[in-house]
Amino acid sequence: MSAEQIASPTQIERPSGSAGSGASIAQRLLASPEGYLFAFIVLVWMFLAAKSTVFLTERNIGVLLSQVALIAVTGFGMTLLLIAREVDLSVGSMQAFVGVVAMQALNEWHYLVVGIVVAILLGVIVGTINAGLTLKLGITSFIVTLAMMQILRGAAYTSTNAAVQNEHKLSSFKRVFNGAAVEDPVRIPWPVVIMAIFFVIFSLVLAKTTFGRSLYALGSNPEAAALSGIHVWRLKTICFVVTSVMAGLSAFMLIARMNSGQNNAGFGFELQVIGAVLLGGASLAGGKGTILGTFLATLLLGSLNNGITLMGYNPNWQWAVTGIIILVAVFLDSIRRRYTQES
Amino acid sequence: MEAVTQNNDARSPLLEMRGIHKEFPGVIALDSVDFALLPGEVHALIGENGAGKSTMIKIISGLYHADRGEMLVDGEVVAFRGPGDAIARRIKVVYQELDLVPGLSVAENVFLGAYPKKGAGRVDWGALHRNTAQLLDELGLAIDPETPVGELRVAEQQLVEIARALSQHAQIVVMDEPTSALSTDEVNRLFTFIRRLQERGVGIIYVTHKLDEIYRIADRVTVVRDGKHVVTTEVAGTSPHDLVTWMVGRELKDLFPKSVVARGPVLLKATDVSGSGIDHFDLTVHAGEIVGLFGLLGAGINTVGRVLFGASERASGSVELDGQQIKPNSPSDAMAKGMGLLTENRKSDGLVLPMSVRDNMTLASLSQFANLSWLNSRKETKAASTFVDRLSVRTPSLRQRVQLLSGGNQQKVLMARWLMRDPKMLILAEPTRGIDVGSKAEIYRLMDEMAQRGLGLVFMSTEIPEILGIADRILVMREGRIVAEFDRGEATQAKLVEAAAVALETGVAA
Repeated sequence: MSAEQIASPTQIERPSGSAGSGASIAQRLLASPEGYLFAFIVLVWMFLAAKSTVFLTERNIGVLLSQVALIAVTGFGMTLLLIAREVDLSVGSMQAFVGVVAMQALNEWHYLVVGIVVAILLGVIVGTINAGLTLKLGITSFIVTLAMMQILRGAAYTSTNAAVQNEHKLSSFKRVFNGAAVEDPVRIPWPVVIMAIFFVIFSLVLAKTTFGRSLYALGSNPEAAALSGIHVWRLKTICFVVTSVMAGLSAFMLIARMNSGQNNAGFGFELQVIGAVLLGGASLAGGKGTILGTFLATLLLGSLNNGITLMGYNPNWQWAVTGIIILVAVFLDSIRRRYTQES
Repeated sequence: MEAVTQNNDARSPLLEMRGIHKEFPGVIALDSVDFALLPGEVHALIGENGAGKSTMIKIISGLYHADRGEMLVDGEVVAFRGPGDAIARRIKVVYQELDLVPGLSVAENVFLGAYPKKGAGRVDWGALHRNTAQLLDELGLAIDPETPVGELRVAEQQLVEIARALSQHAQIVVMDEPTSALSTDEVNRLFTFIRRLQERGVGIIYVTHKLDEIYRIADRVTVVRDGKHVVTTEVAGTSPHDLVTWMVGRELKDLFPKSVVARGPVLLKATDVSGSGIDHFDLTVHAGEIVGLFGLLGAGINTVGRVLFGASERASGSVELDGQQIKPNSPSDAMAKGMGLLTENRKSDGLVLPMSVRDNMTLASLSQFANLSWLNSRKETKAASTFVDRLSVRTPSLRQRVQLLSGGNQQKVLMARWLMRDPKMLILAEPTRGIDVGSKAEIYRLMDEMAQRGLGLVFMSTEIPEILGIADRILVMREGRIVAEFDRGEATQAKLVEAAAVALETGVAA
């Protein structure tokens, strides 16, 4: 064959990064799931601010964020778990179970710290059992925690007929949910502060530590992670325990808000949490998800629910709206990913 | 059946690509490529990884759309909106990753989506099994149509996939490295079968990295490089050297750069190791030595690596590295004592595909870059960029997702992962599998360099030329045990094949 048929071996030019300097701020914003959610939230807030004079008041935003905190705090734990390719369906029943038990403990010993310790301890125990059954027996976490969800709900029902009241009117207690950590210049309620602290801790752990890096690797490719010396079961156990502990803390904030531990608390909570985490960019296939994404998704859903109430619609619409938003967001994200050639 | 005319030019192409252009963010995958497939020809498509072969296939199969240029099937311009459109034009692609349904039977798979029906939508099972049996018979395949596909060997599955192409009366068949998992026998059977397809006037696009196959089966060959069409020519009249030069774009002088390294002290001593199908295995590796493990598919050469490293079960026997016992079944202990394992499946158990080049490189040595588990990302970047230079990994940046790199560069990333730990010995299971010639040469060069630095290497391969070219000592395995040992220079292709394939009756004496 003759040489002239051979193309010259010139290198193909590779434009340096298609989303580079030429891209507008908007394009860059929409290049990530977090950016998408942020844009979504801005739209919703603009709409609600225009429609309701109450929405942007300090008080309403405080209430909104406090409610968001309940879901987000558990959601942060769940984000780790979903990155590790596992899931925990028992966090909803934890709200009832921990609530009932912690309130009984409070009534017995009258110290706020006792209640918190009980909530954390129960989280550690439940999380360890979830991890043990999943990892040692090789049952999928979906099934293990589904069973755990029923068991804990049953335990909550058996221990009390309806609710355990705050008998001793522990005044420090109500402040956990309703009190303000900061009054000046703006009032910041305790749950928001708690959420913010965990937000920072979890974000840093995921982004900056060997644990976080190993977790993403383990979620994307467990085999490769194990062969690189990552202790898969140890990491997963930590994720299970952390998720349950965070659920316990959410439960504690919830009983503070209700001022009682109720056996029917947290119905559907697990799906709100998991829905938010998925909306925030995580995947049931593991390896993906960020704390910022989870927070923004929780904030978006919380804002919509707040808006529905403010505008006087039937609050039961909240359920359907949450579902629709998740579908819409996932749909938009799939388009975004196709556009950016992300797998 | 149509007669195949002598004059090539008189045949109108089954498939034609004209000026096909395809870009991905940051990469021009195809730069106005022309291609034509004639009826009844086997047309080899070769090029290094990342040259654009797979993009071409994906455009032909309807998975991708070309940005510019046109594609013609039977002389008509087509615009596929998806794989369904390609199938409707009787194009069948047999991928390396098979798309069979493991739980369904052979017959159900072959006719998937087109079952013969009796009235009222009921499947005519009798006809289904009869038709399948007939097809399998034509292929010379002795498989029961009712066997679940999951129970077949990979090679058989591949042939089932091809039977499916037949059942769909494909006119154009694309085969993407069909022999990468086949034994010599099975390759022969596949080739006989390809000839039969040819006789029916089917056009076959045959993608491969194995040059010898081109000479055995292909009529014409097209070489692509860096997204550009380099040459299309009759296979007769080209030399393998021409092909390599076209693919690589330069003269490739020395495929196996083998230096003489003085054999150091004993590094690895495995004694009487059994488990996971490995049977009373002994192995000694010296510092600076490359030990090649050769065996046919199923001989267990790759399992040896997993067992030594602790990734597969070691039931008995001891493994000692540099005087220290390695605990069984604990990769982290093996790592701590200085061992590294590059597995034979880059994608499934090596790379974390969505992660960056840098993060993949540092994954096995994170603690080196961390202070109380807090990662120092500047240190990571510095180390990664050192290794990118040292191994000449071609990547636009350290932040590039490793998924987007070519196979050869992915393999280098994994080598960097282990070299970062500064190991005493490395086990490399088929490190050049699915990699183009140019990258292969670089991998061999790196192995040689490692040996010069005093590392001990164990190197598994099913390809004889590279084993002969790079190993100091060659062990041949069959059925989980070592059956022969040769020193470099003493081994020949014939001796290795004979040792690896001798029938069981004479082999058990070992």
